[in-house]
Amino acid sequence: MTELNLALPDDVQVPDLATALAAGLVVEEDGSTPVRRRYFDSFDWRLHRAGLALVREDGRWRLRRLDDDTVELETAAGGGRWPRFASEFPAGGGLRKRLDKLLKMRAVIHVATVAGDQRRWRVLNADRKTVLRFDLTALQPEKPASDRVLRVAALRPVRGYDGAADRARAEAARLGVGPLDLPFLDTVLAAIGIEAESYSSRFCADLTDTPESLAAAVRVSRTLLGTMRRNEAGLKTDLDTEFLHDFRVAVRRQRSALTIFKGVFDPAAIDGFKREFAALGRLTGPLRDLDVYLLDEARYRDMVPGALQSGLDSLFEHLREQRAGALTQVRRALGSPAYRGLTDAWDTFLADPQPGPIADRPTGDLARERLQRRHHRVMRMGRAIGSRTPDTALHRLRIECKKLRYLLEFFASLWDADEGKILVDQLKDLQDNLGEFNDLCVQQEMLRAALGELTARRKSALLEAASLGGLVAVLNARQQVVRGEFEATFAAFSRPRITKRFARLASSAEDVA
Amino acid sequence: MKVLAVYSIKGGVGKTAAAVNLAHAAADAGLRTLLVDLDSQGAASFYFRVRPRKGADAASLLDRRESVHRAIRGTDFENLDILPAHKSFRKMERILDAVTRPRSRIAKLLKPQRREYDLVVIDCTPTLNLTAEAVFRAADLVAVPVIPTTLSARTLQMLLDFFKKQDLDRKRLLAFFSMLDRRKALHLKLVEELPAQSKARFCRTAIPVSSDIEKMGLEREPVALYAPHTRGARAVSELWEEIRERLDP
Repeated sequence: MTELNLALPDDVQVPDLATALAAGLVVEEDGSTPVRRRYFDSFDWRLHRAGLALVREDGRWRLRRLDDDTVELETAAGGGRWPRFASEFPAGGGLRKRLDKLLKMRAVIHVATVAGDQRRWRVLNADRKTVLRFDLTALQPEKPASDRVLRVAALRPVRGYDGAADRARAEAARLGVGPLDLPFLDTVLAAIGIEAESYSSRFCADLTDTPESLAAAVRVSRTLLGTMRRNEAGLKTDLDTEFLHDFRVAVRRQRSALTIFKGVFDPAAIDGFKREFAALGRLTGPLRDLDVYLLDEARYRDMVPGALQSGLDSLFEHLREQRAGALTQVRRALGSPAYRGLTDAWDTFLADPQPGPIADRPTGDLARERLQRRHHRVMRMGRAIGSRTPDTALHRLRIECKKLRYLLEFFASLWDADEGKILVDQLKDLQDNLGEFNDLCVQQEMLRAALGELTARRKSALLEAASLGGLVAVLNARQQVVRGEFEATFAAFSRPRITKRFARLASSAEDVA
Repeated sequence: MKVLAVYSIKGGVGKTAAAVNLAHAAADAGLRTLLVDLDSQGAASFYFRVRPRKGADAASLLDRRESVHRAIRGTDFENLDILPAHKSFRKMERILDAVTRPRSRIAKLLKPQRREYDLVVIDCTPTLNLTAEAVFRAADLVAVPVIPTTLSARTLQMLLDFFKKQDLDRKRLLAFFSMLDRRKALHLKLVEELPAQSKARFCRTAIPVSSDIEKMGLEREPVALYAPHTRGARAVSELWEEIRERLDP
């Protein structure tokens, strides 16, 4: 029998609980120790979503299960700076490996700290043998602070003395003390007014109560503006790369939204916004590109033979320098009055939008028509691509697929969730192929540019040139393979069965709204 | 998982005290330890205040692995569990004799415990019989407490002869002096001479005759707990170090 955590209602007194848990046997207090728990998670709550809480307590890192507060794995915390990325955590107990899988490139940030004490008791039988241990942890949110005291009792059965634990559990139930009905962390968060999982990089907006297109376009845009704003702080402090990524995706979605909802807002009124959002996308592009190269550093190094790997050192050093410059630029831009002016003006516009010619159109009707149109366009463009079509056609199709994807996400609340997900997955396969193809093109260009700069920058650049050349060769070979796979990938996407599903999805949108 | 048997043909030589103290030292050092109390007098179980469960008798323990799992109970110490003695253990010999492959039965019953324990310490019954042989075949090391007297030296020789006759590995025997009284000339003489004369290997550490260790029955705790800085407790910890080196658990 393992440890069992019980939630303690505020009105239960400690002596009453101790007497109840002893169930007629002798109970002895075993001392108490101070407790401080610091909770961490990524900005997008990756651990919470996985049903876990990362806790620093008692000089250890513990990964606790949310549902019953038991420890899944733990390891002694090392000294030095607070770790930010999975790779900076101690490797012991499998913690680093587990965190790496859960967090990937995201940093952990402090969520809350609670402090208090833990009192321990032992239940003894007639031989004065310990047959059950229990403890009571009373914790108060410290940072952010709250007056609420949260109490958890833990039963720790002794092997072979299940009877004592069973009786204790039954007696506790009579006092109204039962298993945690809400994860302990969530109780803490509720006490300090933080909502768990309140941020996700996935787009989510409910359009079922916006029957007219104008209201729907405002709802979508507000959601996106909110995402941009929420990522600003983390982006500026450069906590991890995903703040910028999510920020850029929100900007791109906003631009797509203005196209998808074309005619809903007054075209003349949003013309300037369109241009400025495009400029914002261009401005943040170089930093994102550099992030992608640097995130993939290990993969690049693996692509060239061992003898040439050191030739990449100066490339990545160069990229890191460039990134520092690009970050300064982005920080400056986001701190500028121009950026503040753009978001404020957009906020003001959304509060009182100037309607376009089709502002009154039923949202479902608009969704159906626009979905059909976007889908047809993707099909038309895809069919026109043969083995000899220039690469630019694939790039245009990639952009078109993104718009279709965003459209499916914007209107997702209007149609059957499972059906929508099936089509998103189908589209994703096609997007993955096109995306990889594009990445390979861009990466080779970057490498060729680096190769071009080489003679000017450094004298002893032979090894470097060889490594870059080796990398270009590998990427080029891969690009041919990916291009070759396009035909089959598109064929899968354009199957009649999938096309029919798109048509069915479009018509279901009309029924809902 | 390693198995350490503490065995003596003679009673009253400090065998159970050694088993209890060694098991506690191992658990204290972080090894997940199981103490098996095969002695039907149940002194080890008494020290830990653990009584057997109903039905945890010799017949069912020797018959099913699950009953071994169910019979194990936690002591008051971290990492230390005990399989308490049951009064039916008096009939162990007869029951063991009736099963198939009795000599390997105890090893077979302990094998599934390797997932949960790093070390099993067996407090054996002081008789030289089939049960003892089954324990010897399950053990990586058999620790033998020897009082430095002529009689004890003789019983150690009997044990060596038994090992030879049954084709058991004598290298697994590890004798240590127990209840050594440094005021007695005979004790000191034997401590000097016996290790050289006997075919058995001896530990460097000897457990002294000590009122602290004798008090275990009163305190019902390992000596390291109630008298940590005494000669007795120090000797136990040195003995454990020597045994740990040999066992390498």
